[in-house]
Amino acid sequence: MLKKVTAGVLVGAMLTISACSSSNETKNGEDKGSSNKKVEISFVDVSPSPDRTKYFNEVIAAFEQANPDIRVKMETVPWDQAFKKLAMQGASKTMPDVVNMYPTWLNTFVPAGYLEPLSTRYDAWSDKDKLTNFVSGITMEELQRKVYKEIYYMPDALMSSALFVRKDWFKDANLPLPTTWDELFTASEKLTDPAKNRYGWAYRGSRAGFDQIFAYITAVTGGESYEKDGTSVLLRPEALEAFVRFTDIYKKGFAPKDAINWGYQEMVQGFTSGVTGILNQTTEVIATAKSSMTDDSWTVIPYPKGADGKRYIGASATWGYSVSAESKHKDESWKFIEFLSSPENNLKYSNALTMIPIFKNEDKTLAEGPMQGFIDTLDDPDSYLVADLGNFPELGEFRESFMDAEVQKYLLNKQTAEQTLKNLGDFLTKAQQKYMKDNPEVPLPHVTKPQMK
Amino acid sequence: MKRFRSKEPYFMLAPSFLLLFIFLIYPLLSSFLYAFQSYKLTAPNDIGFNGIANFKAVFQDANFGMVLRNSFLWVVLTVGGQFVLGFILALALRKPFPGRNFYQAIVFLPWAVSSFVVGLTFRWLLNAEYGPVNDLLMKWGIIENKIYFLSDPNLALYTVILTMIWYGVPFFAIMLLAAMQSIPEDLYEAASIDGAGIWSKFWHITFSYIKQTIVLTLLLRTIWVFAAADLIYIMTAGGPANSSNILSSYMFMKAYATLDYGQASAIGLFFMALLIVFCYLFMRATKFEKAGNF
Amino acid sequence: MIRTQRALITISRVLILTMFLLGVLLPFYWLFITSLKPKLDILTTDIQYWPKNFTLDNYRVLWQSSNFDVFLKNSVLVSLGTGLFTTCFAILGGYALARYKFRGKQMAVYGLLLTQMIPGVMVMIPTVILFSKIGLMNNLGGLIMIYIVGNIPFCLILMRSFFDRIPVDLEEAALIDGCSKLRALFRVVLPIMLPGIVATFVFAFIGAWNELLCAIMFISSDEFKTIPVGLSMFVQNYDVNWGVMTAGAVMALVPSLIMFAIVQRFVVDGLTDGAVKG
Repeated sequence: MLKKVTAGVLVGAMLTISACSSSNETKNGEDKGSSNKKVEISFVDVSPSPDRTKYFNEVIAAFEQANPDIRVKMETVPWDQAFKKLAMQGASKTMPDVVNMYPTWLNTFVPAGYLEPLSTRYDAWSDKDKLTNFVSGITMEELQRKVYKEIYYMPDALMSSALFVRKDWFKDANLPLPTTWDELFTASEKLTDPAKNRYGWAYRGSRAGFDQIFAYITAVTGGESYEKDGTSVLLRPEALEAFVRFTDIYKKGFAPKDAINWGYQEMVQGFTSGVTGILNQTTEVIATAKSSMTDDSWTVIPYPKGADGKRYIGASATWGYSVSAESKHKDESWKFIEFLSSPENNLKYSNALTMIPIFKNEDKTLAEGPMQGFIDTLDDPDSYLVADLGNFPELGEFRESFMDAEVQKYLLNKQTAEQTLKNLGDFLTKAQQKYMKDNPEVPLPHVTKPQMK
Repeated sequence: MKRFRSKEPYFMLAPSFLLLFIFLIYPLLSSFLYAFQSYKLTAPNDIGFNGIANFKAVFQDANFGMVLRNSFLWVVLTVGGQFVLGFILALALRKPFPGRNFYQAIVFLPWAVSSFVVGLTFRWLLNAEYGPVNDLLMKWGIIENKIYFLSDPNLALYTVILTMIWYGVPFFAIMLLAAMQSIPEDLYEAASIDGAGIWSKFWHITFSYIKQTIVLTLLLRTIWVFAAADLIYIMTAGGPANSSNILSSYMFMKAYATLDYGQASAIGLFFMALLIVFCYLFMRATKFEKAGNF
Repeated sequence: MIRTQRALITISRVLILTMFLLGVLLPFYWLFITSLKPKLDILTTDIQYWPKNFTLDNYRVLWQSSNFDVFLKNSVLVSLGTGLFTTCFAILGGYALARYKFRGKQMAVYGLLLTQMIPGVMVMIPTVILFSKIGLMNNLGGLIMIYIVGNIPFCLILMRSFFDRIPVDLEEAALIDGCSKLRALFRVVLPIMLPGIVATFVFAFIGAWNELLCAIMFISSDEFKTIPVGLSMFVQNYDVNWGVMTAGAVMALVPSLIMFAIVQRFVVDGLTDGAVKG
């Protein structure tokens, strides 16, 4: 009797579970171009937001209309879990056909063999000549082909560093809007008034906070991140001075004490909630600032110049589009990427998300208001693009579990500045030199001139 | 009193164990070997046996001692706090009072919220600049200066522990309450006739009757809490300066950033070994198997 | 003496209950009023403990443009499925562990404990490979399966401890009365076990209701996403849409409240209630 019940329960369970099973899974291995069969490709967005989802839904509808034999199934994964999920899908060969790619993921996904090389398709692409020199030269060649021998993603748009400031605070304090780092440091001191719960700087102490410090350090090292032999510039004496100077913002209390824990979300919230007066972030944040602050209270100003009169900016592709190595429909996937990357769709996308389009903008009528300001800043003869930290496999460990903890030790007076920079510099030097030995043909990360034309 | 019966128990356990085998034991065995291999997902053609190098890497980490200490505090304080408060709540809920049903439904709610919502909410509540907790304490004159719950390295871990306790009290309350409710009422009546006091009733009846449930929930909660790192990740990312990192959050963050599956498996095995030792000691200390259980 | 003791106990009980209620309600109160504020009023240094500019927009956005109804349906389905199956398997298995002696029993219990120690990351990739082979990726049945596996070890051991407490003679008496073993189980034992069964069900239900990581890893399409995944979508890389997210969190509390309200009766009533059909 009990046996029967057990068997009954088991069969019931299996039936229910199979009834729950969906029947609309992608059928792989269909013949391409078979007249009566639609090919379905999957596309995953790794940083969903209402604006992005709206845009992608529209663009997919247009694409399906133009290509009646292809269906695009859109998926989303929250940004916080995106890397984990894609890594796992890659390992289990279940990655979607078209993947929204974050540029720094390349150095783990390419060696792992998760992505399809797109070089031949890109080289034959008809809109290639319309790309800005920044994209065709730096994003495609310098950062992809020269490093990985192939092209692996098409950039969706560019973002660049931007300085958000509280216009009204500056006005009340009778301060001019800053143009140099020195003026910025002065302003962050003058704007600070703990009694009013106001602080000068939206300091980022956590979750990649070191990037903010490094942005200033490169302003004194001429934009470089390594010496010719792969030694990190952090070991230079002027890097130490710059490090102390920047972290003094926190140590001297021009930033909230809590900021040692601030990541991306909190520093933006710190600015939009009226706690801090200056925010060093990227163009993406414009949309958030617009929706959570009154228009007359803030503005974006060009990135500051260093003591040498030059401006060293970080700018890169925001995300990109890649095809997974396991995809059964690579041609259709590329077709979709081409569609996403058409000048018209790229402009729509860039404007919807306040980013810089990837195409030349000769007559300056395409990009909207503030975005043209960013393009002009990048095009300025004094602007240079900073070198990145490299492509060695330890980069993930450095970024995720090492760099911020080291800096935090200094901020909490548990370690000297010299020791902190030595630890960081030694880690980078060791990893970069090993990488150079293994990959002699890959050029050292170096300063470049962003050309937006 | 146990019955000897041929195959019935096997049939009754079959569905559960079948599922466990397919989805846990089999994958575990396949990951087991990775712990002794150099296996990075980023170097799929470069997989080879490397003995105990993965384990060495774990023990040689400079922060190992600190996160081990944090892990210990985290587990002891979290589980202890959850248990004591859960027990008190269960006792308070034992006897009926007007509105008890509604009260219970509300007081168990924290358990039914996703951990990332709990983490984000408490991160905001305890924030020094626009968090209501500091604001209220200042307004009511309870504190002079703000308390930096999440950015003070001496407080960060304890703040997350408090949040975790808030989150876990209902679990213990429900489990202990369910156990208490199945204590036959006539035991208490008999004890009252014998003139037993409140404490003696509590010890000899309530406590001894639900001892098994206590031991069981404590044991499993400890195992779960040891591995639960999501609140830490959301609230402090292990900071400042690793002061709120525990073994599981720190080690897996490190291994996963580089997709070093070999090292992740080694860490996993090391964790399991620690937990097995803990279980063994725990069972001996609580005479678990004598409680009619093993 | 006895009287003062009683009075003391009553007073401390009221105090304890009040403290717990406040401790639980305050964070929820904060979630609730946040969901009623417009975006400009949510993160401010001048903290509003009552919405100055009361709005229901967040709820409108939640229901109109975020598929929340789909997430809700999926969550209820998955949680109920997980709760029911897990409880059934646990009753069967717990009964076997409590009432029989058989070879390998010790091993079985240790094995159950061992499964709780396995770090999820170690088994994630092999499980995904297996799931994609048998077509369980991206479907609710697969997710229920994962949750059953995750919750069953604890539920089995828990159930067994509840069975252990029930004197065997109760059953034996029923058997002598001419019931079959199964009827004895349903007639006599299960009613007494009700608090334990309900606690087990609640555990499995909540386990599925809250779970985020597996729900993200195993589900890709919007049509199968559960509430936690839906809510985590409002946390972008640089912006948390607090208004809509708290509105979602508040809405997600309603089914949990209903569930607790229904089941807590059984947890409390325990022995006094025999409303189970034989």
